[in-house]
Amino acid sequence: MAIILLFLPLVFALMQFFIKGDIAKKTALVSSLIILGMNIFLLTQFDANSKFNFFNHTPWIHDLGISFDLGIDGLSMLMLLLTNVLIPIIIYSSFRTDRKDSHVFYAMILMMQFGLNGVFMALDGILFYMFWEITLIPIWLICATWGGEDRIKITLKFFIYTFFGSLFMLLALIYTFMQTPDHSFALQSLYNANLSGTGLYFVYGSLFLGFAIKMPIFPFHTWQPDTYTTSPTQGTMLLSGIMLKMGIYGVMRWMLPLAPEASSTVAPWMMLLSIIGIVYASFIAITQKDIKRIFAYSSIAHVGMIAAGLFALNIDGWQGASFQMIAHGINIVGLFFIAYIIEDRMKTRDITTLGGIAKVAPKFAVFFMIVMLGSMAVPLTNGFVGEFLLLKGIYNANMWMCIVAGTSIIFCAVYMLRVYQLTMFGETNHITEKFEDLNTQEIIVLSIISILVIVLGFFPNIIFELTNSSVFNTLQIALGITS
Amino acid sequence: MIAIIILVFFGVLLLFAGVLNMHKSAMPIGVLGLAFALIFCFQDIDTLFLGYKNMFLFTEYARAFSALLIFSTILVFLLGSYFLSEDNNYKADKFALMLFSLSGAITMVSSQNLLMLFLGVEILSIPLYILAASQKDDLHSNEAGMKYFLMGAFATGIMLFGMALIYGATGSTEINIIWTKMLNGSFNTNLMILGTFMLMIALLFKVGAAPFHFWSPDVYDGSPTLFTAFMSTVVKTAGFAAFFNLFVFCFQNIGSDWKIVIAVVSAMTMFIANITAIYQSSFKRMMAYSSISHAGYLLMALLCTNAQQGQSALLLYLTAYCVASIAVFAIFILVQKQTQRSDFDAFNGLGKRNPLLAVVMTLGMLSLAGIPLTAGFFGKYYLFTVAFAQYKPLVIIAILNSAISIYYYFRVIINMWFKESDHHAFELTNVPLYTLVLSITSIAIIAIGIFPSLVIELFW
Repeated sequence: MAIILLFLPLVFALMQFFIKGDIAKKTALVSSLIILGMNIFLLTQFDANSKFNFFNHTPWIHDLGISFDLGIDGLSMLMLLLTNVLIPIIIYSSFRTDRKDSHVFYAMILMMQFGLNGVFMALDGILFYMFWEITLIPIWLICATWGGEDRIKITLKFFIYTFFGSLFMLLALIYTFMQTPDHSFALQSLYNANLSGTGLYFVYGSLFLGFAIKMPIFPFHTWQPDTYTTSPTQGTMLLSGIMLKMGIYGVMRWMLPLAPEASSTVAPWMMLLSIIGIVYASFIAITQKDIKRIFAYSSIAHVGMIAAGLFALNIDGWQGASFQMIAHGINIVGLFFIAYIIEDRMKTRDITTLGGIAKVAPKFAVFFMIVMLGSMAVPLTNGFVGEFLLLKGIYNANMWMCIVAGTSIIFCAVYMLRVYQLTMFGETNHITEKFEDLNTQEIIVLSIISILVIVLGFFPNIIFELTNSSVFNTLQIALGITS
Repeated sequence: MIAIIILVFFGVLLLFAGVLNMHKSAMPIGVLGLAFALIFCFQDIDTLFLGYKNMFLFTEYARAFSALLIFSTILVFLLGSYFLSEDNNYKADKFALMLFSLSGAITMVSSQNLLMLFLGVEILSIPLYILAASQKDDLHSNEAGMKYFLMGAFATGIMLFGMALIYGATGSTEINIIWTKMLNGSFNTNLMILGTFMLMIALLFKVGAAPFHFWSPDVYDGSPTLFTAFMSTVVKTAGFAAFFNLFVFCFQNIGSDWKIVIAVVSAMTMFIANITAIYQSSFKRMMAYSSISHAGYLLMALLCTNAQQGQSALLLYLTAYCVASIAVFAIFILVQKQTQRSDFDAFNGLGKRNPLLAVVMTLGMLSLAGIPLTAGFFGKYYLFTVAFAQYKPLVIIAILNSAISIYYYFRVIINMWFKESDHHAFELTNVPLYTLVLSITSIAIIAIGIFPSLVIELFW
């Protein structure tokens, strides 16, 4: 079952190469909806309390101890749902733009989906690493081909930076593999590896480097604002909505459980880094003029909060993190879509030149408001549930860090409201006069996102029921408590 | 041994074909001979002939590397008839020289005696000096031949000196006897150290590792591209196989001091080659530095603690490297022949002009860079695993360098796909034999990238 969900996007991606012309958009959307259907079908067969559903073990490269192990637990299922729900939205959001070679563009998105699904299902170290790298090529091609100014230099930096990090991840996996009693890369064997002394910190540090660059956590974030800004909107949505969750997922599934003994001494420092990142990114976001850049920095701040919750190493932090992954994924995709609508119509991203859009485009103003409130963690939106739990988790670990982290909610309100005020309120000027209100396609996309923002704010239990037992189990391993 | 005899026989046959002006049939005859030789690499027939005074030993190790050498040469031969299509006077002779050179390479990998190793190196090198200079009207080619010859002669001298010292220290040139003497400790330590050191220098020169790499960019750049492809695959493979054979199988009892030297050389090679490659504007020179950097990675195989693992890593990495290099050189030959240019900009807009070539080129570059699902990834993976047990800092340096190498490998990909052609775009025409070579290599890159154990299970 899991294999079908894994390879379906690959098949569709290959088919996409042969579809020329305008129909490519529609076939891509249908493909992604079929994949979503498959995912929902798996959800109906899914038992959140059993360890790994749809477990598949196929020997692959026997003498290296690599096998093709797939399995889905609650956390994986959550990430798969996020991926497979967002990708149709992302594909649909691009319907207005006509791109050169659009069939390749959609093929790359589907290829990316293949890699992402693989990352969230893989239960073998090398398999995980391979899928992790497979996602990198399509996103690089998307950003480098269809991106904006200076795209080649920026995306190459992004590629080399993340590739460097993931090679360290590979090294950590190899090292852990060497210490496994049964010479296998299977997740459980890696968990059982006898790591000790410097080796433990080596594994912890190398994995951290790989995941921290991907998320990104301060000070490994320098590739992120440029890449997010220059990428085509769909690329940015993929990067920020789903791809950075690979890093967070990696920390939960691979990094902390592999070296639980190192966590207790190092985790507070990691948490400190994450919190520095929150404050740092928030301050920069306040001073920016480019709307995409503001959202990019806001993403660093939000991810810093999630990371801090993970390193708090308690159930509230972890539940908050898994919830916030979904919430952030939805909100940031909405925000970048809004940035894209503004850029597409106004041909500028500089918020200081805009103003008064709310008067000419009231529908747009409403949707922008909903997504923004979600991002600002206002109660009864999805952002609130996640941030509340995260802060609770951080508080249980360290009160002072919680106080500093808590300021991020205020900062977030500052820069978000600043964007909203400068673009929506005030007098319309000669640029914003001609702002057309949303068309049907945009309304559909923004409605889906807004519904998700509100529904998850009212009924967060949908997600907690899915993840409760798996997050608890993984945390137990990460704390070194073996059942 | 049978493989060597066949190759030399067909080499002589090709010389006759050259005299009789049968230049057109030279390539098929050569490929036929190579195919025969390749078959014998998979037969354990040589155990019947043990009478070479322990000069040769066709173990599984030797046969595996011979097969790789012959396979690479077949691919280079298939590229040859188009590359040399304007040459109607010496075509057959050039193919013959490659066969002779190959027989030297096989002698190197199967030698069990230092003298045989020396002979192998010479048989390998002398035809190459001629081939490097074979474009007589081109100044660069002449320069390449001259440089290669002069530097090669020095290296050979040093090698022979080293061998003489080892003979002085142990009283034998047979690898088996040297090995037992070292086990017993009955040898003159000072002479032995000096001897192995000199031997090491000569071999490092042959594989083009820093600081003995200065000849290779000029030689690779100046030589006709077909022979550059031959040199960067066959010579490198033979050099490393012989290096591993001698140092890991024979000198491992001498202590681990030489390993530290190798580790330092490896790190130095990687840094020098990768950083210099970034600044190249000529594609061919970039490939020369890339080949040096791969020599740096390959040196890690010599640091293995388990010879079995080491030889698997070496074989897999070399296979991946050869296959990808030949694919890249094949496309480069097409581009160079048809646009008369050899800089990076010659590739601009290739993705539009000939997408198929661009896809294979991309695959080759990804494999050289070691991206997963290509052969190069598992090559690197094996090497890292082998060296990781004892030389962690070296592996971290290797990782750093892999990240640097992305820069220049991706430059080609970027030029092909994201830049517009800057001159009147014309279609690159595919040549049937090239299509064949490119299909074989791209299938191999992906197949090894998914099932790396195929290569290893083929032999041991």
